[in-house]
Amino acid sequence: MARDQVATHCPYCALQCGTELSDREGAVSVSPSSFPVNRGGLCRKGWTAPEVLGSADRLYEPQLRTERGELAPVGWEEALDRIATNLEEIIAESGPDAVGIFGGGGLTNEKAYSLGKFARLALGSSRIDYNGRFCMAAAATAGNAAFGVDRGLPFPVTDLGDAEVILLAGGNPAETMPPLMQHLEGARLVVVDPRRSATAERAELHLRPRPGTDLALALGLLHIAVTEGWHDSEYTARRTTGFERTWARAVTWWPERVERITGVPVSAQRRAVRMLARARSSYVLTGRGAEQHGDGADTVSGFINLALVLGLPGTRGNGYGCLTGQGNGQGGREHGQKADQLPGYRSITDPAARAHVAEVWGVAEKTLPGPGLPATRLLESAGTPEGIRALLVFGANPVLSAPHAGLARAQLSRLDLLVVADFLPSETTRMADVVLPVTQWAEEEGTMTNLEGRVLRRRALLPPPGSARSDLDVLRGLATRLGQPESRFPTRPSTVFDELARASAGGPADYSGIDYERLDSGQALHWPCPTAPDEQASTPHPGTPRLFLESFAHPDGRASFATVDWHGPAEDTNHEYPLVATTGRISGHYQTGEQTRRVDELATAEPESFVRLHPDTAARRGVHDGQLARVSSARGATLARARLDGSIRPDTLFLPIHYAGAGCANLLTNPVLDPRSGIPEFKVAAVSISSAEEPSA
Amino acid sequence: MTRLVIIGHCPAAHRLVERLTEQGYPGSITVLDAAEQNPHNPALLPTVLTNGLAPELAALPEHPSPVRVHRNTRIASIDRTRRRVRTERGDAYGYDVLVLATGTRTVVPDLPGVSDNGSPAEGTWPLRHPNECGRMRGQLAADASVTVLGGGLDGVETAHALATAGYEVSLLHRGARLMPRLLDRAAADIVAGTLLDNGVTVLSDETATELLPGKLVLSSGAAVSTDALVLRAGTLPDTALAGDTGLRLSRGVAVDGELRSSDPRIHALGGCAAPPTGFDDSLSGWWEQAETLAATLLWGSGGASGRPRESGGIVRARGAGLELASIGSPEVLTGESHEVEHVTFNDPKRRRYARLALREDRLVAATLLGLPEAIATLSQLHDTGMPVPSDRLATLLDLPTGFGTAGGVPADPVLCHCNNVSRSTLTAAYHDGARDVAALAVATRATTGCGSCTGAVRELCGSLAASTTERVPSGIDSPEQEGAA
Repeated sequence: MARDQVATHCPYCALQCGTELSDREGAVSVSPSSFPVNRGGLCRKGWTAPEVLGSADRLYEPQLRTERGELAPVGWEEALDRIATNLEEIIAESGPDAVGIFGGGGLTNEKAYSLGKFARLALGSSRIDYNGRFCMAAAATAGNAAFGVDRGLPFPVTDLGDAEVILLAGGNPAETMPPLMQHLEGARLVVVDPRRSATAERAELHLRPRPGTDLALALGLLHIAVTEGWHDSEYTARRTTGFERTWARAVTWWPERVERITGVPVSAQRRAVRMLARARSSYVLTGRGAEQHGDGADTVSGFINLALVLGLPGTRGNGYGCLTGQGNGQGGREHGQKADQLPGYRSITDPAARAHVAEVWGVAEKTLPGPGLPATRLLESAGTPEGIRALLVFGANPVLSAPHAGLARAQLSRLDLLVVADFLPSETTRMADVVLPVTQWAEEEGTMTNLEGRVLRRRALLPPPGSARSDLDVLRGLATRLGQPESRFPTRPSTVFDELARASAGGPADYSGIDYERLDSGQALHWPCPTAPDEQASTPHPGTPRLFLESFAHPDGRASFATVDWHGPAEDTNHEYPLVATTGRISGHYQTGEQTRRVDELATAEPESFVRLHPDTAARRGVHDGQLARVSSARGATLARARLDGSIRPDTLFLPIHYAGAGCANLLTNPVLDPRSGIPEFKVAAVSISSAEEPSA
Repeated sequence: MTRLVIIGHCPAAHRLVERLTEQGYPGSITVLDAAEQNPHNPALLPTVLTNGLAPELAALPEHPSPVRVHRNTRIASIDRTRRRVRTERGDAYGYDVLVLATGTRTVVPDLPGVSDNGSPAEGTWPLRHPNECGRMRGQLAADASVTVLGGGLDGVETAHALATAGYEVSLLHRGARLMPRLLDRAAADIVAGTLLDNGVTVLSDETATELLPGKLVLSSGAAVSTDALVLRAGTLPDTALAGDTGLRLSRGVAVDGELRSSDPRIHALGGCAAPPTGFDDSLSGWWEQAETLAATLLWGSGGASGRPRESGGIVRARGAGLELASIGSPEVLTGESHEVEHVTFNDPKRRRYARLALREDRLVAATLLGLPEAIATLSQLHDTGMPVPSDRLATLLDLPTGFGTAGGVPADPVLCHCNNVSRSTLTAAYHDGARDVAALAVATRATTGCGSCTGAVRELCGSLAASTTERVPSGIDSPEQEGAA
């Protein structure tokens, strides 16, 4: 399969920048392509991605924990036999729900689909979820509730280039998705962020709410939109339902009350609404800053309500969207690795969806399990009487990425069996009983779905190194050992895709009109892309770059306002922990940093965790710029180097999420979950800070 | 099951019921209200008048079904011994806990043309209900003359809102300066200036004697063109029922920090109550009272963790462009105490003013005008008890606080942050032959991230080109010529 040069996409974020990858005598190099999302741009993570392919500690062989407690290399047969035997024992003793699967938003569509099928058929378990639950689950829940379907951006990224005003709630693409900024540079930006991020620097208006008060701000902006006469009542009457109930809550969010709770001046609130309302083209976008809260789905609903009252969604040149984070965060949530979903973004509790998928899979509908547990609950259940005894992890590092990381480690250690498939050793593989080496981006074929719902081809430049195998091979190997017919778990990506497409037919995320041939010919296909009604039709469905122009995806065709109210974060500051820590991302690293911390250039630039804080806050606690500081919450403490920042709120500390060991920011975070979406409250933890260095003599 | 009866449905009472139902109050809740209509959010009254907000959108939401609300229900008497409320219609309601929320009534000055036997006469508007605001909007021409009577916060807010909406507005008040209870002379002058900027004629040291069609006659003998007279000369707590019942009264129904009256089974909140200092007399103060009382009714005495602050609440003017806040008790601002640090900032030209009193870096009291960011920041610092940043002026003006990087621009600045490319790297690449932005992008990756440094890289190219062409032919004027490498 290996070639000298392939057109593919960057392995990291949901922009999925187009790249040309070439191999000259063993040296892999990358260059950006003219793909419309990045148009020749690439950030430093993308430029240095090939270095991860040759990482010195790359996993080449399966490993099995010996009786002495060490991981030792073994052959594939032995590893898979061992896993299958253990799984059979556990299922026989405790039932199929004693085995869990933890997937990832970086896996290809084919892998995500096969993982869901493996859980429900080969294991018969309902216990599958993925790390996307930590990422944009709140936006997914709110988007589904409002529009009847959840596609991060229901329009192509390039539409943003014509926007006049964009409100960005809790996103920092200037650092996390630099090439996206090309599409935002023409717009006047309103950025909502408690700190002056690189994106906030470019904003015409920067709103700086206290962490955990974003929903109060959203309610306040809606209140102003209505009281100042910007409510598009013709639009809300014709295209939406539920305005009255929503207004009944927003009526009490007058601007001065919002100011006192959020710290955002009344004049700035009014200006934000006027900018959005007066522009001929305006968009409301949310990112993790709005989403990762105990009221995350309600917060996103609050911003969608604002967009609806201004008449933005589903009208040309306007809209609401979520900036999806992980590489395949979009596709990863559509094909069945979510606890409550079947392929095609169908609900696992919907009888018609179950019947359809069961038929494609060739099984009886009643054999499909019901909904499982969201990621954090899944991990929490480890080792408990009703919980999981074994966990298979694919493409994720929950030891670092789960909230209250100290707890996640303890939970995983209660398992009888932990299997981790990855291409690099991580904090999670180090705890595993069995480690399976799998392929990574440049070594495999597949598809990804980017943040605008466009399906893209990932192509292989290199053969799998050592004895690494594709996750698809791993799943077939395990499934056959568990008694499944080999044909049920194909390993050829295009075959898996064709089945995925059939399984998705008729669902909200309908891929049935897409195949590798169409993608390879360069067609830009955004889902839904159903099969043409007439199989003989000469022109296939062109895909749907823009959703909702005619109607929304609810049965009545209308968007739905959500009735939401603000009650504050789960954890308030107090005498012992008087400051608020909020976590986020920086330009040089990705996710838990497993890949990027192995790239010399990136590791050298940002080698260790840091904490941004106001100079006054630092001075009061004896913390000096550049010194090591200890940040503590009720759950744990982390070490980070102090970076003084005169523009951050004095009550707020910012820590990046990319570091391991003592620098892991999730040692602080609160495992409380949003009741609607299951997303954890990563953005608010009550903390204190002190110097971690001896005072100099 | 505890029977809770609430008399009156003022905004504070509405909020109380809301918080009780949200938190699962185990008893029955009955509201007896004399008014015909649903309660409304008073914060929206000016908006109905000035922006044409539909009056029904100012209504507060209906309570969920277990709560019983009886409108058009006036109370005849309260029998505290038998714990029973009797309505004028003769119905009786037994209670275990009674809450008085009878609100306030407007003072109608006893002047010819203004008062009609104690009620507002034709052309006089108390503006207490959204429907009334809607009616006034419907009756007045867009440029009608409106006179606002009363120079307190209410009067200032109303005059400002009306002027912003285009009416010709006069503000009449008897004192020498506006808002005398909250503002000192300098601050009051700034408020008057702000009103003036918005087209409000401020008439100080004046009282009215008579309202005639089209004009208001003043005691000085002058007349002010007046199509509508808006009463903002104050309200009085409605304590008639509480007085008849024999409860102790002060300014209103006397209550303690948990809104308990002299009868421990009877509470009072909102405009009819006179709580100890700490609750500000405003909508947000009433809501705080509701929060406190809800906690007390749910969890017993001491159940409210958010105690009222000793230093007093926050009075914040409402309305676009009226940036005015008074935090804590104004007396502290003028007092002289060694422990108190005073900060003053007076900028009459830009209508900005600040006066702060701090103790150990904590805000005790403040007056803030024309400083919207400082109002937001300092209100929160007051509420959370966090210290005020040491750079007081930066805080007032919303500037980032600088700190000890004395050097200014680093010697070798990073021009492309996305790809971490410094000026020296770009310069070296230029000398290696990458002579334009495109070539430098290939050589160094600069500009390929977000692209915002493209201008800076182009500029660098230009200056390198200029210095190279100067240096090579002439050879003079280049003391630090680089070695050939």
